[in-house]
Amino acid sequence: MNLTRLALWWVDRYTRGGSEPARVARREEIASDVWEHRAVAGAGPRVEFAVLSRCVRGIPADISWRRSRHRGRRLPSLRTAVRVAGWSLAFLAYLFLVGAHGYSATAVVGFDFYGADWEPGDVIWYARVSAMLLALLLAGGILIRRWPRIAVAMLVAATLGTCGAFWWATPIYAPLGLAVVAAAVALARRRAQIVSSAAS
Amino acid sequence: MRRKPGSLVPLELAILELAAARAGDPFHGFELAKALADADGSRALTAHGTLYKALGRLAEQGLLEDEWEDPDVALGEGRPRRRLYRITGAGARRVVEEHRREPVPSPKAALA
Repeated sequence: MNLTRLALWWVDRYTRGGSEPARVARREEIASDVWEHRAVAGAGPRVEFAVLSRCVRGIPADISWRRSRHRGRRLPSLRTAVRVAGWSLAFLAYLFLVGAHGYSATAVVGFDFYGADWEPGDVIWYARVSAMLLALLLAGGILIRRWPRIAVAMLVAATLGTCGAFWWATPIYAPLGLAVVAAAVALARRRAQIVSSAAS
Repeated sequence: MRRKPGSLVPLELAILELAAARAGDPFHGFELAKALADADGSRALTAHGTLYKALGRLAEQGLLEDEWEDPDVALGEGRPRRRLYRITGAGARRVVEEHRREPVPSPKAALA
């Protein structure tokens, strides 16, 4: 059991987005404190819990420290959190719908929406397109933090592809796709802001 | 409630008192947390966030000075380097001033 890692993880979290020297100094200072604590009190669950307790009891002060460091800068608010949660839900719903279409087309799940309407070869085409769109969506969602521009391009392509392939369901897919793309753009912009403010 | 600028909370005063008692010897955060707990007779050490925020404030006010330990010393002893704090002249004067101030009696004590 290494609960002290949680304490260091928390330092990483609340110092994120601030100036790099302050972040490194705070992290090194807590790492040194934790090391000294374990060196003096010895290893074992009691010490681990003592370190974790010091970390948890200090959370209000950590948050206040973070706010004082970021005074004048925009901090993620509850509104932002709700917005991100909403967009995440839209993304998951989108993934689910495209995935459900793909599966139902191949009849893997044991039911077939389309029955006699299928032309020979339609099932394979449909399954391939669904899989490709799913892969694009997933990759866009995964890459958004690291390569935001590429990810946004992937999500736009997936949205256009979905609306084209499932044209009869465009009233559902178009708003979902727009919400997901808007979320990706907002995330990419926010990330660029954080990176530029940390650099300055 | 917002505190007055430049005022000290009890923890900050306790840190300054301990720092003054060390007569200029540097100390690091964990050492201080342990000394504070020993002085209080408490088993629980001051929380990380509370302690380092207080130390940061005292340093910003010029009551403590801090420097990072030589990395070679830490490396030689096989541990992370320490951030060392030391009381400044202003810090020592502040401790004396705080002790000179008369404690304001609480309304309860005045009625007793």
